[in-house]
Amino acid sequence: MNNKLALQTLICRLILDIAPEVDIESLDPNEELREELDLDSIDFMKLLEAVSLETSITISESDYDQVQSLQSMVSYIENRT
Amino acid sequence: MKILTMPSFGSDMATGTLAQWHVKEGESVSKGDIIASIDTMKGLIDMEVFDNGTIDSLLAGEGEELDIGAPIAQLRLLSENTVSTSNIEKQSVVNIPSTETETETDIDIDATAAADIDAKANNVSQSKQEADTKKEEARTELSQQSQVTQPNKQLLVSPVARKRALELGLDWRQLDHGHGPAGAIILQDIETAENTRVQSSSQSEKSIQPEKSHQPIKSHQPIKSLQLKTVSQPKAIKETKPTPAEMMRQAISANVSRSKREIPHYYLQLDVVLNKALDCLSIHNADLPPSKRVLVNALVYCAIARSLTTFPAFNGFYNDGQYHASDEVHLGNAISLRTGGLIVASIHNAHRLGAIELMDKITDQVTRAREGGLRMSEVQDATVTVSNLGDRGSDSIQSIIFPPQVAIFGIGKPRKMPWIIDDEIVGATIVNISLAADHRVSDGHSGARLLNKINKLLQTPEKLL
Repeated sequence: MNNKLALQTLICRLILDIAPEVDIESLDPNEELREELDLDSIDFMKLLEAVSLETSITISESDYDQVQSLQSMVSYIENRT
Repeated sequence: MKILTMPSFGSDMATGTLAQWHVKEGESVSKGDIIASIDTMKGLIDMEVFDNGTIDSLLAGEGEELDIGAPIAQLRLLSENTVSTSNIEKQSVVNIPSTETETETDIDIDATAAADIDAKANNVSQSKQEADTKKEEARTELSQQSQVTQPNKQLLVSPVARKRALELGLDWRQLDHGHGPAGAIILQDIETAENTRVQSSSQSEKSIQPEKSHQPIKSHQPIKSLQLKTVSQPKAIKETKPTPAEMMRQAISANVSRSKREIPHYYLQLDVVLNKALDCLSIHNADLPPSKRVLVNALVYCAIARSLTTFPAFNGFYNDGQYHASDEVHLGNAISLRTGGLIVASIHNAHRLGAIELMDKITDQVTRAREGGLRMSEVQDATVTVSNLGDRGSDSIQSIIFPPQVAIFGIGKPRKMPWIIDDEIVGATIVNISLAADHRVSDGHSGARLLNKINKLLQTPEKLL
Protein backbone atom coordinates (compact mmCIF):
# COMPACT_ATOMS: atom_id res chain seq x y z
CA MET A 1 0.00 0.00 0.00
CA ASN A 2 2.82 2.34 0.95
CA ASN A 3 4.52 1.54 -2.28
CA LYS A 4 1.33 2.36 -4.16
CA LEU A 5 1.06 5.73 -2.46
CA ALA A 6 4.70 6.51 -3.05
CA LEU A 7 4.37 5.65 -6.72
CA GLN A 8 1.25 7.75 -7.04
CA THR A 9 3.01 10.72 -5.45
CA LEU A 10 6.00 10.23 -7.69
CA ILE A 11 3.91 10.13 -10.88
CA CYS A 12 1.98 13.24 -9.82
CA ARG A 13 5.26 14.98 -9.25
CA LEU A 14 6.53 13.93 -12.68
CA ILE A 15 3.34 15.24 -14.28
CA LEU A 16 3.70 18.58 -12.50
CA ASP A 17 7.25 18.79 -13.73
CA ILE A 18 6.04 18.44 -17.33
CA ALA A 19 2.83 20.45 -17.00
CA PRO A 20 3.11 22.74 -13.96
CA GLU A 21 -0.25 24.39 -14.68
CA VAL A 22 -2.42 21.29 -14.21
CA ASP A 23 -4.74 20.86 -11.25
CA ILE A 24 -3.35 17.60 -9.98
CA GLU A 25 -5.24 17.84 -6.67
CA SER A 26 -8.59 17.30 -8.32
CA LEU A 27 -7.45 14.40 -10.50
CA ASP A 28 -9.58 11.30 -10.10
CA PRO A 29 -7.02 8.45 -10.14
CA ASN A 30 -9.45 6.21 -12.00
CA GLU A 31 -10.21 8.64 -14.80
CA GLU A 32 -8.28 8.91 -18.03
CA LEU A 33 -5.17 10.83 -17.14
CA ARG A 34 -4.57 12.64 -20.42
CA GLU A 35 -8.17 13.67 -20.87
CA GLU A 36 -8.52 14.95 -17.30
CA LEU A 37 -5.29 16.95 -17.32
CA ASP A 38 -5.27 17.90 -21.02
CA LEU A 39 -1.91 16.30 -21.69
CA ASP A 40 -0.96 15.96 -25.35
CA SER A 41 0.96 13.09 -26.92
CA ILE A 42 4.30 14.81 -26.35
CA ASP A 43 3.52 15.44 -22.66
CA PHE A 44 2.59 11.78 -22.33
CA MET A 45 5.80 10.66 -23.99
CA LYS A 46 7.80 12.83 -21.61
CA LEU A 47 5.91 11.36 -18.68
CA LEU A 48 6.75 7.81 -19.81
CA GLU A 49 10.39 8.82 -20.22
CA ALA A 50 10.46 10.30 -16.71
CA VAL A 51 8.72 7.21 -15.27
CA SER A 52 11.26 5.03 -17.01
CA LEU A 53 14.17 7.02 -15.54
CA GLU A 54 12.74 7.12 -12.04
CA THR A 55 11.46 3.55 -11.74
CA SER A 56 13.47 1.67 -14.39
CA ILE A 57 10.15 0.42 -15.80
CA THR A 58 9.77 1.14 -19.50
CA ILE A 59 6.17 1.16 -20.68
CA SER A 60 6.10 -0.13 -24.24
CA GLU A 61 3.91 1.42 -26.90
CA SER A 62 1.77 -1.70 -27.12
CA ASP A 63 0.90 -1.34 -23.41
CA TYR A 64 -0.34 2.26 -23.61
CA ASP A 65 -3.93 1.13 -23.12
CA GLN A 66 -2.94 -0.34 -19.74
CA VAL A 67 -1.65 2.95 -18.34
CA GLN A 68 -4.48 5.33 -19.20
CA SER A 69 -5.32 6.33 -15.63
CA LEU A 70 -3.09 7.18 -12.68
CA GLN A 71 -4.39 4.09 -10.88
CA SER A 72 -3.68 1.75 -13.78
CA MET A 73 -0.22 3.24 -14.32
CA VAL A 74 0.64 2.67 -10.66
CA SER A 75 -0.56 -0.94 -10.85
CA TYR A 76 1.36 -1.52 -14.09
CA ILE A 77 4.61 -0.30 -12.54
CA GLU A 78 4.00 -2.11 -9.25
CA ASN A 79 3.41 -5.42 -11.01
CA ARG A 80 6.72 -5.13 -12.80
CA THR A 81 8.92 -3.87 -9.97
CA MET B 1 28.40 49.90 -37.49
CA LYS B 2 25.05 48.15 -37.47
CA ILE B 3 22.20 49.20 -35.21
CA LEU B 4 20.33 46.24 -33.74
CA THR B 5 16.69 46.99 -33.06
CA MET B 6 13.83 45.52 -31.06
CA PRO B 7 12.69 42.68 -33.33
CA SER B 8 9.11 42.00 -34.35
CA PHE B 9 7.68 38.54 -33.86
CA GLY B 10 4.46 39.22 -35.74
CA SER B 11 2.70 42.03 -37.57
CA ASP B 12 0.49 42.61 -34.55
CA MET B 13 3.28 43.00 -31.99
CA ALA B 14 3.90 46.63 -31.01
CA THR B 15 6.43 46.41 -28.18
CA GLY B 16 8.85 44.03 -26.53
CA THR B 17 10.60 44.06 -23.18
CA LEU B 18 14.31 43.45 -23.00
CA ALA B 19 14.28 40.84 -20.25
CA GLN B 20 17.96 39.95 -20.21
CA TRP B 21 21.18 40.64 -22.05
CA HIS B 22 23.38 37.61 -22.80
CA VAL B 23 26.31 39.70 -24.03
CA LYS B 24 28.41 42.52 -22.66
CA GLU B 25 29.84 45.57 -24.39
CA GLY B 26 33.05 44.64 -26.15
CA GLU B 27 32.10 40.97 -26.48
CA SER B 28 32.60 39.33 -29.86
CA VAL B 29 29.60 37.52 -31.33
CA SER B 30 29.10 35.10 -34.20
CA LYS B 31 26.16 34.67 -36.51
CA GLY B 32 23.51 32.60 -34.73
CA ASP B 33 24.58 33.56 -31.18
CA ILE B 34 21.82 34.48 -28.76
CA ILE B 35 22.41 38.01 -27.54
CA ALA B 36 19.26 38.79 -25.56
CA SER B 37 15.98 37.39 -24.26
CA ILE B 38 12.93 39.41 -25.24
CA ASP B 39 9.75 39.17 -23.19
CA THR B 40 6.72 39.21 -25.45
CA MET B 41 3.13 38.11 -25.29
CA LYS B 42 4.42 34.92 -26.88
CA GLY B 43 6.68 34.32 -23.89
CA LEU B 44 10.43 34.72 -23.61
CA ILE B 45 12.07 34.58 -27.03
CA ASP B 46 15.80 34.40 -27.62
CA MET B 47 17.13 37.03 -30.01
CA GLU B 48 19.89 35.92 -32.33
CA VAL B 49 22.46 38.01 -34.15
CA PHE B 50 22.82 37.56 -37.91
CA ASP B 51 26.34 38.93 -38.36
CA ASN B 52 29.78 38.32 -36.96
CA GLY B 53 31.22 41.22 -35.01
CA THR B 54 31.68 42.90 -31.65
CA ILE B 55 29.01 44.42 -29.43
CA ASP B 56 30.03 48.08 -29.41
CA SER B 57 27.40 49.40 -27.03
CA LEU B 58 24.14 48.35 -25.40
CA LEU B 59 21.48 51.01 -25.86
CA ALA B 60 18.69 49.50 -23.76
CA GLY B 61 18.59 48.29 -20.18
CA GLU B 62 17.14 45.07 -18.83
CA GLY B 63 13.45 45.44 -18.00
CA GLU B 64 12.98 48.25 -20.53
CA GLU B 65 9.90 48.05 -22.73
CA LEU B 66 10.55 49.34 -26.24
CA ASP B 67 8.68 49.84 -29.49
CA ILE B 68 9.45 47.52 -32.39
CA GLY B 69 12.35 48.97 -34.33
CA ALA B 70 13.78 50.92 -31.39
CA PRO B 71 17.60 50.67 -31.24
CA ILE B 72 18.85 48.32 -28.55
CA ALA B 73 22.54 47.84 -29.38
CA GLN B 74 25.32 48.78 -31.77
CA LEU B 75 27.23 46.01 -33.48
CA ARG B 76 30.65 46.62 -34.98
CA LEU B 77 30.69 44.29 -37.97
CA LEU B 78 33.62 42.00 -38.52
CA SER B 79 34.17 43.56 -41.93
CA GLU B 80 34.72 46.98 -40.27
CA ASN B 81 37.65 45.74 -38.24
CA THR B 82 41.17 46.09 -39.52
CA VAL B 83 42.31 42.87 -37.88
CA SER B 84 42.64 40.00 -40.35
CA THR B 85 39.54 37.85 -40.71
CA SER B 86 41.25 34.63 -39.80
CA ASN B 87 42.28 35.94 -36.38
CA ILE B 88 38.78 37.05 -35.53
CA GLU B 89 37.34 33.80 -36.73
CA LYS B 90 39.65 31.98 -34.36
CA GLN B 91 38.59 34.22 -31.50
CA SER B 92 34.90 33.73 -32.11
CA VAL B 93 35.34 30.01 -32.44
CA VAL B 94 37.22 29.89 -29.15
CA ASN B 95 34.12 31.31 -27.47
CA ILE B 96 31.95 28.44 -28.57
CA PRO B 97 32.93 25.77 -26.02
CA SER B 98 31.61 27.99 -23.23
CA THR B 99 28.13 27.45 -24.65
CA GLU B 100 26.31 24.47 -23.18
CA THR B 101 26.74 21.31 -25.21
CA GLU B 102 23.01 20.84 -25.69
CA THR B 103 22.63 24.15 -27.50
CA GLU B 104 25.40 23.53 -30.00
CA THR B 105 23.21 21.73 -32.49
CA ASP B 106 20.74 24.60 -32.43
CA ILE B 107 23.45 27.11 -33.10
CA ASP B 108 24.63 25.20 -36.12
CA ILE B 109 21.13 24.84 -37.49
CA ASP B 110 20.27 28.44 -36.97
CA ALA B 111 23.54 29.61 -38.43
CA THR B 112 22.56 27.65 -41.51
CA ALA B 113 19.12 29.24 -41.51
CA ALA B 114 20.67 32.65 -41.13
CA ALA B 115 22.98 31.88 -44.04
CA ASP B 116 19.93 30.95 -46.07
CA ILE B 117 18.27 34.26 -45.30
CA ASP B 118 21.42 36.11 -46.31
CA ALA B 119 21.75 34.11 -49.49
CA LYS B 120 18.15 34.96 -50.36
CA ALA B 121 18.90 38.64 -49.98
CA ASN B 122 21.70 38.20 -52.48
CA ASN B 123 23.92 40.62 -50.64
CA VAL B 124 26.58 38.26 -49.39
CA SER B 125 29.99 38.70 -50.83
CA GLN B 126 31.76 35.55 -51.88
CA SER B 127 34.59 36.07 -49.41
CA LYS B 128 32.16 36.38 -46.54
CA GLN B 129 30.46 33.17 -47.57
CA GLU B 130 33.81 31.45 -47.64
CA ALA B 131 34.62 32.78 -44.19
CA ASP B 132 31.26 31.53 -42.92
CA THR B 133 31.85 28.13 -44.41
CA LYS B 134 35.27 27.94 -42.74
CA LYS B 135 33.75 29.00 -39.45
CA GLU B 136 31.00 26.41 -39.69
CA GLU B 137 33.53 23.74 -40.45
CA ALA B 138 35.48 24.84 -37.40
CA ARG B 139 32.29 24.77 -35.33
CA THR B 140 31.45 21.28 -36.49
CA GLU B 141 34.95 20.16 -35.68
CA LEU B 142 34.78 21.74 -32.27
CA SER B 143 31.40 20.30 -31.52
CA GLN B 144 32.64 16.88 -32.58
CA GLN B 145 35.73 17.34 -30.42
CA SER B 146 33.69 18.31 -27.39
CA GLN B 147 31.48 15.30 -27.90
CA VAL B 148 34.55 13.10 -28.04
CA THR B 149 36.32 14.56 -25.06
CA GLN B 150 33.35 14.94 -22.75
CA PRO B 151 31.59 11.57 -22.62
CA ASN B 152 32.78 10.85 -19.08
CA LYS B 153 31.27 14.08 -17.84
CA GLN B 154 27.85 13.34 -19.36
CA LEU B 155 25.86 12.37 -16.27
CA LEU B 156 22.29 11.35 -16.92
CA VAL B 157 19.75 13.06 -14.74
CA SER B 158 15.98 12.80 -14.80
CA PRO B 159 14.10 16.09 -15.30
CA VAL B 160 12.31 15.84 -11.96
CA ALA B 161 15.61 15.15 -10.18
CA ARG B 162 17.18 18.14 -11.88
CA LYS B 163 14.26 20.34 -10.85
CA ARG B 164 14.32 19.12 -7.25
CA ALA B 165 18.07 19.73 -7.08
CA LEU B 166 17.50 23.27 -8.28
CA GLU B 167 14.81 23.80 -5.64
CA LEU B 168 17.14 22.56 -2.93
CA GLY B 169 20.12 24.45 -4.24
CA LEU B 170 22.00 21.18 -4.72
CA ASP B 171 24.53 20.76 -7.51
CA TRP B 172 23.65 17.33 -8.94
CA ARG B 173 26.89 17.34 -10.92
CA GLN B 174 28.70 16.73 -7.64
CA LEU B 175 27.17 13.25 -7.46
CA ASP B 176 29.28 10.51 -9.03
CA HIS B 177 26.34 8.49 -10.28
CA GLY B 178 22.71 7.73 -9.50
CA HIS B 179 20.53 4.67 -9.06
CA GLY B 180 18.54 4.99 -12.27
CA PRO B 181 19.21 3.12 -15.52
CA ALA B 182 22.80 3.56 -16.73
CA GLY B 183 23.66 5.34 -13.49
CA ALA B 184 21.18 8.15 -14.11
CA ILE B 185 20.56 10.45 -11.17
CA ILE B 186 16.96 10.11 -10.10
CA LEU B 187 14.76 11.86 -7.56
CA GLN B 188 15.67 9.38 -4.84
CA ASP B 189 19.38 10.24 -5.23
CA ILE B 190 18.69 13.93 -4.81
CA GLU B 191 16.56 13.33 -1.70
CA THR B 192 19.27 11.08 -0.22
CA ALA B 193 21.96 13.67 -0.94
CA GLU B 194 19.80 16.37 0.60
CA ASN B 195 19.10 14.30 3.73
CA THR B 196 22.81 13.68 4.15
CA ARG B 197 23.53 17.37 3.71
CA VAL B 198 20.83 18.47 6.16
CA GLN B 199 21.93 15.89 8.74
CA SER B 200 25.58 16.81 8.54
CA SER B 201 24.88 20.53 8.57
CA SER B 202 22.50 20.28 11.54
CA GLN B 203 25.01 18.12 13.43
CA SER B 204 27.86 20.52 12.88
CA GLU B 205 25.81 23.62 13.57
CA LYS B 206 23.60 22.32 16.36
CA SER B 207 25.53 23.99 19.11
CA ILE B 208 25.90 27.25 17.24
CA GLN B 209 22.80 28.07 15.14
CA PRO B 210 20.03 25.49 15.27
CA GLU B 211 17.70 27.56 13.03
CA LYS B 212 20.04 27.00 10.09
CA SER B 213 18.37 23.70 9.34
CA HIS B 214 16.19 25.73 6.97
CA GLN B 215 19.18 26.50 4.81
CA PRO B 216 17.84 24.72 1.71
CA ILE B 217 14.93 27.13 1.49
CA LYS B 218 17.34 30.01 1.81
CA SER B 219 19.41 28.74 -1.06
CA HIS B 220 16.26 28.68 -3.17
CA GLN B 221 15.72 32.39 -2.71
CA PRO B 222 18.23 33.74 -5.23
CA ILE B 223 16.52 31.77 -7.99
CA LYS B 224 13.14 33.18 -7.07
CA SER B 225 14.40 36.73 -6.83
CA LEU B 226 16.06 36.34 -10.22
CA GLN B 227 12.73 35.35 -11.71
CA LEU B 228 11.07 38.29 -10.01
CA LYS B 229 13.66 40.60 -11.45
CA THR B 230 12.92 39.62 -15.02
CA VAL B 231 9.20 39.10 -14.72
CA SER B 232 7.90 41.74 -12.36
CA GLN B 233 9.94 44.72 -13.47
CA PRO B 234 8.16 45.23 -16.78
CA LYS B 235 4.82 45.11 -14.97
CA ALA B 236 5.94 47.95 -12.74
CA ILE B 237 6.39 50.18 -15.76
CA LYS B 238 2.74 50.07 -16.85
CA GLU B 239 0.24 48.81 -14.30
CA THR B 240 -2.78 48.88 -16.61
CA LYS B 241 -1.10 46.84 -19.32
CA PRO B 242 -3.06 43.76 -20.43
CA THR B 243 -1.75 40.41 -19.29
CA PRO B 244 0.32 38.36 -21.77
CA ALA B 245 -2.66 36.01 -22.23
CA GLU B 246 -4.92 38.97 -23.05
CA MET B 247 -2.35 40.39 -25.44
CA MET B 248 -2.00 37.05 -27.16
CA ARG B 249 -5.79 36.81 -27.55
CA GLN B 250 -5.80 40.28 -29.11
CA ALA B 251 -2.95 39.31 -31.44
CA ILE B 252 -4.69 36.12 -32.58
CA SER B 253 -7.89 38.10 -33.02
CA ALA B 254 -6.13 40.71 -35.19
CA ASN B 255 -4.43 38.05 -37.27
CA VAL B 256 -7.42 35.85 -37.99
CA SER B 257 -9.64 38.86 -38.67
CA ARG B 258 -7.14 40.17 -41.18
CA SER B 259 -6.83 36.73 -42.73
CA LYS B 260 -10.57 36.23 -43.14
CA ARG B 261 -10.98 39.78 -44.43
CA GLU B 262 -8.18 39.70 -46.98
CA ILE B 263 -7.61 36.10 -47.99
CA PRO B 264 -10.18 34.28 -50.15
CA HIS B 265 -9.82 30.85 -48.56
CA TYR B 266 -10.88 27.62 -50.17
CA TYR B 267 -11.01 24.37 -48.24
CA LEU B 268 -10.28 20.76 -49.15
CA GLN B 269 -9.97 17.63 -47.09
CA LEU B 270 -8.91 14.06 -47.55
CA ASP B 271 -9.22 10.97 -45.34
CA VAL B 272 -5.90 9.18 -45.25
CA VAL B 273 -5.43 5.55 -44.16
CA LEU B 274 -2.66 5.34 -41.58
CA ASN B 275 -2.41 1.54 -41.25
CA LYS B 276 0.94 1.27 -42.99
CA ALA B 277 2.32 4.30 -41.16
CA LEU B 278 1.27 2.91 -37.78
CA ASP B 279 2.62 -0.58 -38.56
CA CYS B 280 5.92 0.93 -39.62
CA LEU B 281 6.14 2.98 -36.42
CA SER B 282 5.21 0.13 -34.11
CA ILE B 283 8.14 -1.86 -35.52
CA HIS B 284 10.44 1.16 -35.33
CA ASN B 285 9.40 2.10 -31.78
CA ALA B 286 9.25 -1.41 -30.31
CA ASP B 287 12.61 -1.43 -28.55
CA LEU B 288 13.13 2.27 -28.14
CA PRO B 289 12.88 4.28 -24.92
CA PRO B 290 9.89 6.66 -24.86
CA SER B 291 11.99 9.71 -25.72
CA LYS B 292 13.19 8.12 -28.95
CA ARG B 293 9.80 6.94 -30.18
CA VAL B 294 8.38 8.58 -33.26
CA LEU B 295 4.76 9.72 -33.19
CA VAL B 296 2.62 9.44 -36.31
CA ASN B 297 2.45 13.26 -36.45
CA ALA B 298 6.10 13.34 -37.44
CA LEU B 299 5.39 11.12 -40.45
CA VAL B 300 2.48 13.33 -41.49
CA TYR B 301 4.60 16.50 -41.11
CA CYS B 302 7.35 14.87 -43.13
CA ALA B 303 4.95 13.92 -45.94
CA ILE B 304 3.54 17.46 -46.00
CA ALA B 305 6.96 19.13 -46.09
CA ARG B 306 8.28 16.89 -48.86
CA SER B 307 5.12 17.25 -50.96
CA LEU B 308 5.33 21.03 -50.80
CA THR B 309 8.65 21.06 -52.66
CA THR B 310 6.77 20.25 -55.87
CA PHE B 311 3.78 22.50 -55.07
CA PRO B 312 5.33 25.96 -54.70
CA ALA B 313 1.97 27.76 -54.85
CA PHE B 314 1.29 26.63 -51.29
CA ASN B 315 4.60 27.52 -49.69
CA GLY B 316 5.58 31.19 -49.55
CA PHE B 317 4.37 34.71 -48.82
CA TYR B 318 1.75 36.96 -50.38
CA ASN B 319 2.71 40.60 -49.86
CA ASP B 320 1.51 43.80 -51.56
CA GLY B 321 -0.46 41.97 -54.21
CA GLN B 322 2.40 39.68 -55.19
CA TYR B 323 3.16 36.09 -54.34
CA HIS B 324 6.70 34.90 -53.73
CA ALA B 325 7.18 31.16 -53.47
CA SER B 326 9.85 29.96 -51.06
CA ASP B 327 12.54 27.51 -52.12
CA GLU B 328 12.73 26.16 -48.59
CA VAL B 329 9.92 24.66 -46.56
CA HIS B 330 9.94 26.20 -43.10
CA LEU B 331 7.08 24.27 -41.57
CA GLY B 332 5.20 26.22 -38.90
CA ASN B 333 3.81 24.06 -36.14
CA ALA B 334 0.91 25.67 -34.26
CA ILE B 335 1.56 24.86 -30.60
CA SER B 336 -1.18 25.41 -28.06
CA LEU B 337 0.02 26.94 -24.81
CA ARG B 338 -1.42 25.69 -21.56
CA THR B 339 -1.86 29.24 -20.34
CA GLY B 340 -4.11 29.96 -23.35
CA GLY B 341 -3.45 30.94 -26.93
CA LEU B 342 -0.99 29.47 -29.37
CA ILE B 343 2.36 30.09 -30.94
CA VAL B 344 3.64 29.00 -34.35
CA ALA B 345 7.19 27.66 -34.24
CA SER B 346 8.96 27.08 -37.51
CA ILE B 347 10.86 23.89 -38.30
CA HIS B 348 13.53 25.13 -40.69
CA ASN B 349 14.10 23.21 -43.92
CA ALA B 350 11.60 20.56 -42.87
CA HIS B 351 11.64 19.09 -46.40
CA ARG B 352 15.21 17.97 -45.87
CA LEU B 353 14.48 16.18 -42.59
CA GLY B 354 13.35 12.63 -41.98
CA ALA B 355 10.54 11.82 -39.55
CA ILE B 356 13.00 10.90 -36.78
CA GLU B 357 14.72 14.28 -36.97
CA LEU B 358 11.36 16.01 -37.28
CA MET B 359 10.14 14.26 -34.14
CA ASP B 360 13.13 15.58 -32.19
CA LYS B 361 12.47 19.09 -33.50
CA ILE B 362 8.78 18.96 -32.65
CA THR B 363 9.42 17.74 -29.10
CA ASP B 364 12.12 20.33 -28.53
CA GLN B 365 10.05 23.21 -29.91
CA VAL B 366 6.89 22.28 -28.04
CA THR B 367 8.91 22.20 -24.82
CA ARG B 368 10.57 25.55 -25.49
CA ALA B 369 7.31 27.16 -26.63
CA ARG B 370 5.79 26.27 -23.27
CA GLU B 371 8.80 26.89 -21.04
CA GLY B 372 10.38 29.82 -22.91
CA GLY B 373 13.46 29.86 -25.11
CA LEU B 374 12.17 29.82 -28.67
CA ARG B 375 14.50 31.61 -31.03
CA MET B 376 13.64 34.71 -32.99
CA SER B 377 14.16 32.93 -36.32
CA GLU B 378 11.79 30.17 -35.22
CA VAL B 379 8.83 32.50 -34.65
CA GLN B 380 9.39 34.71 -37.68
CA ASP B 381 9.83 32.80 -40.86
CA ALA B 382 7.39 29.89 -41.26
CA THR B 383 6.43 29.60 -44.94
CA VAL B 384 3.40 27.37 -44.28
CA THR B 385 1.62 26.17 -41.13
CA VAL B 386 0.23 22.91 -39.77
CA SER B 387 -2.48 22.90 -37.15
CA ASN B 388 -2.72 19.55 -35.45
CA LEU B 389 -5.41 18.82 -32.89
CA GLY B 390 -3.68 15.69 -31.66
CA ASP B 391 -5.03 12.28 -30.83
CA ARG B 392 -7.67 13.64 -28.43
CA GLY B 393 -8.93 16.40 -30.71
CA SER B 394 -11.84 16.42 -33.14
CA ASP B 395 -12.16 14.39 -36.34
CA SER B 396 -11.17 17.31 -38.53
CA ILE B 397 -10.29 20.99 -38.51
CA GLN B 398 -10.52 23.71 -41.16
CA SER B 399 -7.94 26.29 -40.25
CA ILE B 400 -7.42 29.98 -40.97
CA ILE B 401 -4.36 30.93 -43.00
CA PHE B 402 -1.66 32.79 -41.10
CA PRO B 403 -0.83 35.88 -43.24
CA PRO B 404 1.29 36.49 -45.24
CA GLN B 405 1.36 32.72 -45.79
CA VAL B 406 -0.98 31.19 -48.37
CA ALA B 407 -1.80 27.75 -46.98
CA ILE B 408 -2.46 25.92 -43.74
CA PHE B 409 -2.97 22.21 -43.11
CA GLY B 410 -5.28 20.83 -40.44
CA ILE B 411 -4.78 17.37 -39.00
CA GLY B 412 -7.64 15.71 -37.18
CA LYS B 413 -7.65 12.91 -34.63
CA PRO B 414 -6.69 9.50 -35.99
CA ARG B 415 -9.76 7.30 -35.60
CA LYS B 416 -10.57 3.63 -36.15
CA MET B 417 -13.15 3.05 -38.87
CA PRO B 418 -14.50 0.31 -41.08
CA TRP B 419 -12.89 1.01 -44.45
CA ILE B 420 -12.89 -0.61 -47.86
CA ILE B 421 -9.45 -1.70 -48.97
CA ASP B 422 -9.07 -3.98 -52.02
CA ASP B 423 -12.86 -4.48 -52.15
CA GLU B 424 -12.98 -5.76 -48.59
CA ILE B 425 -14.29 -4.11 -45.46
CA VAL B 426 -11.45 -3.90 -42.98
CA GLY B 427 -10.67 -1.99 -39.81
CA ALA B 428 -8.49 1.02 -40.54
CA THR B 429 -7.06 4.01 -38.73
CA ILE B 430 -8.02 7.13 -40.64
CA VAL B 431 -6.80 10.68 -40.27
CA ASN B 432 -8.45 13.64 -41.90
CA ILE B 433 -5.97 16.07 -43.47
CA SER B 434 -7.42 19.40 -44.52
CA LEU B 435 -5.97 22.20 -46.58
CA ALA B 436 -7.07 25.81 -46.49
CA ALA B 437 -5.40 27.76 -49.29
CA ASP B 438 -5.38 31.23 -50.80
CA HIS B 439 -7.46 31.30 -54.01
CA ARG B 440 -5.50 34.31 -55.29
CA VAL B 441 -2.47 32.05 -55.61
CA SER B 442 -3.76 28.53 -56.26
CA ASP B 443 -6.86 26.59 -57.32
CA GLY B 444 -8.68 23.65 -55.81
CA HIS B 445 -7.41 21.34 -58.54
CA SER B 446 -3.76 21.72 -57.52
CA GLY B 447 -4.72 21.71 -53.83
CA ALA B 448 -6.36 18.32 -54.30
CA ARG B 449 -3.27 17.02 -56.09
CA LEU B 450 -1.16 18.20 -53.17
CA LEU B 451 -3.34 16.31 -50.66
CA ASN B 452 -3.18 13.19 -52.85
CA LYS B 453 0.59 13.45 -52.96
CA ILE B 454 0.73 13.60 -49.14
CA ASN B 455 -1.50 10.53 -49.00
CA LYS B 456 0.76 8.70 -51.42
CA LEU B 457 3.89 9.41 -49.38
CA LEU B 458 2.17 8.18 -46.22
CA GLN B 459 1.56 4.80 -47.89
CA THR B 460 5.34 4.19 -48.06
CA PRO B 461 6.20 5.37 -44.56
CA GLU B 462 9.60 3.63 -44.39
CA LYS B 463 10.88 6.16 -46.93
CA LEU B 464 9.95 9.00 -44.59
CA LEU B 465 11.79 7.79 -41.48
